[in-house]
Amino acid sequence: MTTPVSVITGFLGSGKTTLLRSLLRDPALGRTAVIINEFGEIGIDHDLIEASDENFIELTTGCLCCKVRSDLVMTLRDLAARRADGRLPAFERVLIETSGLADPAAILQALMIDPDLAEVYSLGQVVTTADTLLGLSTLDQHAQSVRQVAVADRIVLTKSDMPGADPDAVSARVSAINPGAEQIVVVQGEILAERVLRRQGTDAQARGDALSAWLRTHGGEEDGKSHAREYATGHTTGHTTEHTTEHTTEHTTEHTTEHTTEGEREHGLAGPLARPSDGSSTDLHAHAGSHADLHDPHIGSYCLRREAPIRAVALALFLQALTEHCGARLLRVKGIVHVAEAPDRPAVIHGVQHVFHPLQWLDRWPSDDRRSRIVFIGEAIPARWIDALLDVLDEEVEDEQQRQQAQAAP
Amino acid sequence: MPEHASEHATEQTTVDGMRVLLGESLQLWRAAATLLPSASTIEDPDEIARVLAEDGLLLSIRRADHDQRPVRWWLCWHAQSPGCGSDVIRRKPCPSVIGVLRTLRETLTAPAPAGGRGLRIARGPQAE
Repeated sequence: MTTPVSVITGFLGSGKTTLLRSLLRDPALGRTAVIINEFGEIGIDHDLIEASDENFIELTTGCLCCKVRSDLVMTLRDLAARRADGRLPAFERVLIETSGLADPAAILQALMIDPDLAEVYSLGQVVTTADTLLGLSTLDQHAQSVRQVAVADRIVLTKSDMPGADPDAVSARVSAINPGAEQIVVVQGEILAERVLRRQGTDAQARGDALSAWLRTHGGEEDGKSHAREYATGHTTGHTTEHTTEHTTEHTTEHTTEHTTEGEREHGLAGPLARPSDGSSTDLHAHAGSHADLHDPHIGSYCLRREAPIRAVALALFLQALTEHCGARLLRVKGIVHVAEAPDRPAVIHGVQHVFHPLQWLDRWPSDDRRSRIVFIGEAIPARWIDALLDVLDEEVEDEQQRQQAQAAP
Repeated sequence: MPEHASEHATEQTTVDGMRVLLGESLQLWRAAATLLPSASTIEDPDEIARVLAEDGLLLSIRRADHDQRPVRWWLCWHAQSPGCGSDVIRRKPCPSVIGVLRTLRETLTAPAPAGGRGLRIARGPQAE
């Protein structure tokens, strides 16, 4: 049993501390260790947090993502050691509030890589706050804020009750960056922890079901034709947003924002991870005539799909080349893969930049759809490059297998 | 479909895919180089693409013969002479497109992506 570590990130002033303060008032979040990363010599965020007797706060200084090895890893190790010998209460989860300037991908990597941490902790939810008052201009001006949205599992839209706020516009904008992330609109700063931090299941199969739902929002489960591919980024025009209002407490109203990609499909889509609609091999940046490209010229998502099973060797080589050539521009990869050597058990892949979890094998397919579907969220990575790379590698592996079979034949 | 026809179709698919991949790779690396249009430069059917760097370096990517397996690709450096002729002065064998891309990128001195590193496998996620 590992302790989940969830990350609350978001740009400066986007409401992270307010969200954290609200979450910690929820009795469901008793026994929580909170790590607050304050940038600057005089931090005040921790003074704004009221910790209960069961919760406690650790501080780090400097930008967490820049010195993540030393500060975060050491802090987490120290917390676990102090819990083990009874110097700390038996906390059941950890919340990390990053500085507003942090690159959350670096923090996720640290959680995934460190072998000692992996014995004790597991990655929980990545929650990003997006300010509905200033969020559009922030996303325009600060690439880091776009990266923070891009890696999120959940996006909390804050300040929606303030004059001048435009939740719909910000919702559409963050959907264009990360259509798979669930959005939650907060009103009057109140929100239930369960809505923000609930996990997607505690076994591999449940996670597979959750992944399947996530892929659906990326267009990965459309009832498409053979070898159809979806480009889930770009146009906000035609984007459908539904708000369902739940009155969870007398003072709390949450709006659950769901998305469809119908509008995106209708518009053919474009974006930094998209191919030209005419199929030509032109410069994709020169293709930036679309509304969405002007919004987010660098970060987008793309769903690769394959009808035919992918050979395991080809998949391994593909991931190797992907990380080698894309590096930090590859923000997140999630997918479900039909591996040729294991047709009845789909494999789940999950990576952050160049760091990947080992393949997780599900006991069964979450639905009748047995196509491989992999979503890439990245910065200026041509979708055609991703497609062509896998195609060529798969054909090379097939050729090599045939050659070896021919050699082995009497 | 006769077996050789099927093989030919597969090879053509690979060649087409390689051309796309090479062109998109130059873009991904932001390399100061151009994938030359095949129609105007390629007369040899085994030569699938040429890349011209801004500094004048000319490279070609050739498909290896079947009897050269496990070599699948040759990356060739050309000495350009005035006019349209060019001769191969060096060539490197590559068993896979992985090697083609790596060598091509190193040759073109394309800047590595920020933080670009090889694949690393983390510990597996565990149940809460």
